[in-house]
Amino acid sequence: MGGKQKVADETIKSFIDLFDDHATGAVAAIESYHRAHEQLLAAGAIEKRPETPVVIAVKDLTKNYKVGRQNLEVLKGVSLEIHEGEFVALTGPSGSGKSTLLQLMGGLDKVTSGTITIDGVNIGKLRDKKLSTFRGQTIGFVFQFFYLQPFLRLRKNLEVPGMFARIRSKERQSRIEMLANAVGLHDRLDHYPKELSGGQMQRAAIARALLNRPKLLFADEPTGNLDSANSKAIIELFDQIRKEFGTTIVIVTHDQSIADHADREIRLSDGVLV
Amino acid sequence: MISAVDAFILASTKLRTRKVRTIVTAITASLLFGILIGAIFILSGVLRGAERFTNTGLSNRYIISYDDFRSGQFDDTPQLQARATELYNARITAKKVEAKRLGIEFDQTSEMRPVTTDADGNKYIDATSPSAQQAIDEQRAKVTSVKETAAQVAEPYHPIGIYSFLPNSNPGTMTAMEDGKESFKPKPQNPQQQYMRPGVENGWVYLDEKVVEPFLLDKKLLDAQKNVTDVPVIAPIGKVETALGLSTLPKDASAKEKLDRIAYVKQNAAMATFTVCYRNEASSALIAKTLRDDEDMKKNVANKEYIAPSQQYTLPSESSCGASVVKKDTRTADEKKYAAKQEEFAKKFDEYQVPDQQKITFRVVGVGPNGIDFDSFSTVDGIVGMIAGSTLQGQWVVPNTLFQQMPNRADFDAFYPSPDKKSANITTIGLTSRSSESQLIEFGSAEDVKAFYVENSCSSFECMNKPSVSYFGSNSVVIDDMKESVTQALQIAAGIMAVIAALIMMGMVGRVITDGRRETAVFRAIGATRNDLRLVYAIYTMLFSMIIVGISIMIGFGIALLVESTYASNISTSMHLAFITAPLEETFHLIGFWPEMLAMAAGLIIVAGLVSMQLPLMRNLARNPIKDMRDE
Repeated sequence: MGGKQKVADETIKSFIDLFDDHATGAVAAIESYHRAHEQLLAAGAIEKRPETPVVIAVKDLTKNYKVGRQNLEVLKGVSLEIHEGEFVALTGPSGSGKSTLLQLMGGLDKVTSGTITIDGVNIGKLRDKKLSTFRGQTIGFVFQFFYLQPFLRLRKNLEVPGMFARIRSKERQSRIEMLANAVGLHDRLDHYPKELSGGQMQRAAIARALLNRPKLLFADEPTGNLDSANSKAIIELFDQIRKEFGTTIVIVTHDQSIADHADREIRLSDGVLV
Repeated sequence: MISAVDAFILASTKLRTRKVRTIVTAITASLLFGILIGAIFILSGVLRGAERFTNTGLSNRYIISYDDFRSGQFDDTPQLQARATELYNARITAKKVEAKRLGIEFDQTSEMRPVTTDADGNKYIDATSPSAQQAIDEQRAKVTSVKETAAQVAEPYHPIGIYSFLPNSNPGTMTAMEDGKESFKPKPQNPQQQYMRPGVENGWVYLDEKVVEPFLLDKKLLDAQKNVTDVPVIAPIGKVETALGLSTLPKDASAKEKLDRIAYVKQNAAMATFTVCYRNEASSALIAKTLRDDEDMKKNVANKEYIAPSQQYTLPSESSCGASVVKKDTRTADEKKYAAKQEEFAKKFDEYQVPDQQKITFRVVGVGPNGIDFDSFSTVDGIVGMIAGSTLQGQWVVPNTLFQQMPNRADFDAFYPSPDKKSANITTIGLTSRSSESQLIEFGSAEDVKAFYVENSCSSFECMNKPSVSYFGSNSVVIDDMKESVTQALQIAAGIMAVIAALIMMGMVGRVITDGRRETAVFRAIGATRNDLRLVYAIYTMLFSMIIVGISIMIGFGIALLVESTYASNISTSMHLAFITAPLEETFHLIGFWPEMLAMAAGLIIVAGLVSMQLPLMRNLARNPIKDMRDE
């Protein structure tokens, strides 16, 4: 990043100089901005801004927790936008608020202040029932510990979100077949979770998260419990999902290799974006 | 919202978590409910069994005994006393005139005064005085008869029959002629036994066949006895057994032995007879005098100063039921003449009784239940008899129509109370036998009989002069009431057990729900609404409750089976003894199916589960799923 930063600094400096030289002409200023932007893109100092619409918009988000008598400020005015089809990694040290941010975006917790708009819907204004339905239809969740039902065969485990979404059984079965193929578990559908490896369980959890064909896939440390080979396979699976289904993926991770693999890394520290 | 089928799939998986705890909780709760369900099985068996037995006897009928004591009593008014005194004076005058005519002495003080005065100066009628009795009879003649009052009182309750219950109460003595012999020396008797297990010599009642028909023998047997001159009687089974020459079975006899005995007695009852010797008071007094004189004479054989009675009698033969006859009369002609005048005088004033005695043979035309026996109260027979027995227990009943149809009916006129006449042999002044007449009122339904009973019975002190009302042989009413009481008791017991079981289940279900916090959070994350989760847990609780229902039924059935195998055969026999009319193939079971109560118990268990689920579920749903996931 050091080389890119140098080019960026120089380009911005020349843009400011040009702006000063043509301070009397607004048109020239705009032209000079576009030229500078193109130079930055060419140098790879900035990435090309996606042209897809914003699917997640977070504005001035704060979240406080009461721990005993203490008021713990976990998020301190976070604002961000995530575009449709983006693969975003939320990173930061433990306690920085990244998981909290993910859960708030998933409507699993109430914000203290600020707004979260998902696919044009301000989820803070949804009542519990509508929020649950919205969540079930729009967001798929993947957790570090998979959370599969131990006494249900894989096939039934994958069906669970479809049960809550009242998808007809036949349709559920057809989606399960397709997703099982996609995650490479087609031959494991009649097994119980305990008969699967960690990687297989996480793939199953991903398949389960995708059953309702959500626009968004939120994953909280999805590789945190896996070895590196399985972690790599899971990340490849996310890529594949994004390509095949156009799903927007937001991952909370400590793993920098995953963050590097993402389109964008959003880093939090002490409740603010850095 | 999630479909019930899907909710069922998710709920059923929960039963497989925490298996040991689930099983322990299910068994603990099931033990409590098992006892309740066992009680339901047993009580329904008892009630059903009782219903089956009562269907055959008097007990499926709704009969009330109505005793209007007022008809046997009198109002001790100044008018009555005045009338009695008037009659007394007239009687004294008439006696004086008659004594003068006959030339005999008459002591006015020997005539009982009709009115007595106590220390406080209060005056009372003395009903033992002939004049008082005559006045009382005049007063009573104006009172509506018990039969009429019974009909009037019962009318609003739709009676289907009114029958007289007439006790034989001729004031003579009856002595059982065991082995055809009369014993002149009174045998020492256990008064309790005499009361609880009376022989026919202690009295019988005349009852309409419509009332006692279930106890009568087979019609063929009865037809064969049509022209028999013995008095028809329905006797307690124990007495028939003895009359047939059978010794009483030991108390530890098996149920089969007892049943076989009942069957034998019922089949051969027509061969049983009972003979008593009836003696009126004069006849009894003569026997007593004969015995006393004989003893005195024996004692004074060597006593030269002893003056033997002028009239000496000899006892009749033990098998004759005859009168004492004069064996020696040393009176002078004048003495005999004077005695004849005294006799004429007494006859004129109804004070002379010709010694009368009569051998009466009763032939069994029906078999009734034994009387309650205090000695066997602790036995199954005793307890069942006490609870389930009919009012006829130990009663000797002469079926009225059969009695009236006897070819020699007139021979027994002295023993049949009639409203129109006093028994010719009654000389002891007192209440006539009619005074103890009761009326039996039969109703068509339990509702009518209960309504009549509730509105006409009265047990407080103020009711002493009111008619007495009691159930007669109507165990059906008792069983109806018992069923109500049992249902209430079961409901209370069920309520208590439900609370206990609900607490246990609350612990269990609460724990399962608490254990499932993370899962709840995951479900919430993947789109479950609170109502989805409520449905899942409700179905889980219902499944869990149904397992408890199943185990409870098995435990309850096991308890009932144990009780059945231990007591049923003995109770069957006891019921046959108590309900003598039931067909012998009828058996009593201590296991019965009472679907309403079982459904109530099952519903109770499920409701207890659902109620117990609410609090932990509400708590769980109110929690922050993220916090739960984070805590995990």
